Amino acid sequence: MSTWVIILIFYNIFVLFYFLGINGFYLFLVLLSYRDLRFLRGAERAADRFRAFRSEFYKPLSIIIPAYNEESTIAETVYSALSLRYPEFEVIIVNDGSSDKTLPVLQERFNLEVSARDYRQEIPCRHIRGTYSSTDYPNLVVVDKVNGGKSDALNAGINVSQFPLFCNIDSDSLVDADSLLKVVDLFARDWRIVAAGGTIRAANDCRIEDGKVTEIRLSPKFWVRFQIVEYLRAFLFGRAGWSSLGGLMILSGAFSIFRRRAVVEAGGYRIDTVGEDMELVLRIQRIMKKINREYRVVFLPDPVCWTQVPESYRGLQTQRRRWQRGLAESLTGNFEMFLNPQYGSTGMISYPFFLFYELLGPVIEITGYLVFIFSVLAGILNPPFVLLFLTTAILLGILLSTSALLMEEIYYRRYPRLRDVLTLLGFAVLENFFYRQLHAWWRFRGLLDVMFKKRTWGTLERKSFSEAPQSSGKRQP
Amino acid sequence: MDPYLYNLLIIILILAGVILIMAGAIVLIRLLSARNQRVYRQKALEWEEIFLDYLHSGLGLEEACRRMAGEKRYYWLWRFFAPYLEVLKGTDFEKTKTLCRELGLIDHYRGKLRRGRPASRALAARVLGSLQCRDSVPEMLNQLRNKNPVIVQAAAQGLARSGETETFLPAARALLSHTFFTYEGVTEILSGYGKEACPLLQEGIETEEEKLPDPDHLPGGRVPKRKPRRGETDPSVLVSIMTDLLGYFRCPGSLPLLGRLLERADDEITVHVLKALLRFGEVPPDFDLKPYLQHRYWVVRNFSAKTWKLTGDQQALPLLEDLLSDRNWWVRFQAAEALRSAGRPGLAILEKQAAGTDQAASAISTYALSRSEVKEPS
Repeated sequence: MSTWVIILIFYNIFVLFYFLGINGFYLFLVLLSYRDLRFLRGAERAADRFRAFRSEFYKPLSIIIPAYNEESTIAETVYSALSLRYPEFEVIIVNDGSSDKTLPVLQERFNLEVSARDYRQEIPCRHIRGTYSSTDYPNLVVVDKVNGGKSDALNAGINVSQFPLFCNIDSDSLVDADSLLKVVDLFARDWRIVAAGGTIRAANDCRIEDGKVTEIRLSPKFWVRFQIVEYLRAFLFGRAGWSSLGGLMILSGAFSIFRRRAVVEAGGYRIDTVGEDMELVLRIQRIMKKINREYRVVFLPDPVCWTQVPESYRGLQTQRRRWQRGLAESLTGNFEMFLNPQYGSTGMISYPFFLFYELLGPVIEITGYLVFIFSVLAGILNPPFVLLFLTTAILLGILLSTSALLMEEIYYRRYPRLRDVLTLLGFAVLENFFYRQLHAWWRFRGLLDVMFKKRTWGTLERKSFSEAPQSSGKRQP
Repeated sequence: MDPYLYNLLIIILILAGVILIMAGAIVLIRLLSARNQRVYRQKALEWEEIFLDYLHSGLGLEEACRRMAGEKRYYWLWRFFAPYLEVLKGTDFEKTKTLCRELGLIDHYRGKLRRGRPASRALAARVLGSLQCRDSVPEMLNQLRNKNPVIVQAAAQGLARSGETETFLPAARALLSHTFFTYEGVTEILSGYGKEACPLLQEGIETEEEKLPDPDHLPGGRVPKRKPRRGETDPSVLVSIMTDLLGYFRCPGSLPLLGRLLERADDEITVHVLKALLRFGEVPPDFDLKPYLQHRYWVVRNFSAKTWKLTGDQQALPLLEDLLSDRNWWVRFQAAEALRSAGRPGLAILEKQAAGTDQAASAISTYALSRSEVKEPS
């Protein structure tokens, strides 16, 4: 038997175990999240949101929205933020040196005037040219700064913010009215919580009025539908499962709330990474452990932030490559946590899982496909086995997506029409035949970007919530 | 067929079966839920008519019960009555409660509180609390010992709504010792007891005060920080929370008590007393703010600067001016705000500092002056 054949056999066995490991763990996460979602849904019935809204005791909150070339969406985003149901909050828009009319739009729509608002430079950030306050909305602050990237803009927003909690929301995202109350309630219930996040859903083609999603509609766009299924899977059993396990490593940059002091102690967002959200969550955990402070990072599936997901092949590919780069940077920057029992579930379970299955997954998946083909051609594997194995893999993929859809249907039922849910079921099947492979390829290319030290954000499509796609901009890291 | 192929085939069939069942469940849940919603809406309309007749048009309890009876989905009944229970008072509330009792709602949720799943227990505590169901107080007190913080929270909220003020201290202790609630979270829940808890708060503070260390025998003149063990309640924290609530309810006759608490030399209590004074809008007789403006703890300096507006003590203006250079931004901000509210003398200090060389004092003074120029939003 030649060396090549032996290598192929061993690699096939390795892929088989890898496949069993990843799917077994995902199924375990499904069970965990099902249990938690059931409890959370019941507990939500017992919660009194109206009373919470009237409360004087809830911690005030700063909402930070970084904006770079967002002239088409910024006004709606600000209206959405201003209309949130929360006892006391300020909205801080950070114009990150936009080259379009983002600042003039804000000045015109919200009657801005120069403010002498003082702030503490507790985290390094690029020069703040000025701050503006609105004569119409006293809790609106606009910060104009030199371009430094999203992380730098967030750091500037944190410096200017006055309240003990802050929430970062992407400028192309809309938060449901009660979402803040639901997430902040967690901070009131547990002083150990340093960061918490909610679910992200696709807002594409939903009806938006006055900065609020008033009608949830399933987008007719092909790429968007795949992402809807993907987001349901990622949030309803991915993050919910990790949170239940106490090993949450990521909160979405589009909507998460942090204890300001913890972020300042951690040094704010890192500006040299494209995965600033995950990196910060990991670093906070590391710093908290170093200074011997109890901490928790949690996820709540019910509070929803609606965001515009990429609608084109190119946009989606760029985003996924960037995410993979961000994942790589976050994991390598916090490698100390790897298999470190000090960090509990995060160090012993989540980190190794993310490293082997999420980061290196695309390499194993793509080489696995190739090795399978070679093995069949070389006669090492018999075609019926390959066929049955692939069928099992596809069915497991469908099973995981269907579980997410079932959980959505049992607990949240956001899509009002049965037809939409059935369409999503169709996409849960369809995604296994080429989207999954394509996704692995994009992530693989993301890893190549890391190797070749590619650092840009790539082109981001931006469109108004009520208009067709228009401007595009390149965000500088 | 090879046995491993056969096994794989079995796995495939099982997976396909599970997927089909799940897909079927999705459709079924959607259809059932749509039907349930339709039925509920219809029932709610019928119930509304009966209920309003019962409240205002002389429909008897028995007749109302007879017409509404038969509904075993108690959550629906609760969903229907919940908004009314929020707003109804006096006789109407009592009549609603009696109707709920006769319909079996109270017995059902009392059973759930004793034996239900965690989420059902939490809901039961809310329902029984909203119905001010005093006979379930012992069961709710039992739930305060539950390991699940959501149930403890719901039980404490239920007790607060039930109006049994005697349960205040057990609820406060349970929240502080068996959960990880923040002080704000605990205060928020306990605020549900309402103004009726005032005498109990004053009494509770006096009782807990006795457990505090004697201020005359403190090392370095300050209370040492000690992290209470799980299951233990720090009296200083309990006093702080009750002080907060005294201020929140503006409990009459509390000012002398608050003045006495300030002598405790406990930083945390001092902060809460100052917060309470701000809510009262007045200070105890012979209150001297100056030592607090020079306090070592920045939160005390911060709140004392805010409290200055209540005293209007002109002799404290130089101290406020010093605070414009404080190393803490919030203290500088509150000092500047106090000076801004002090009229001409305060504005003169701000103008002087704005033109001065101290960067921090200059920035905050400029900011305060800019705020005094713009019209304050309502």
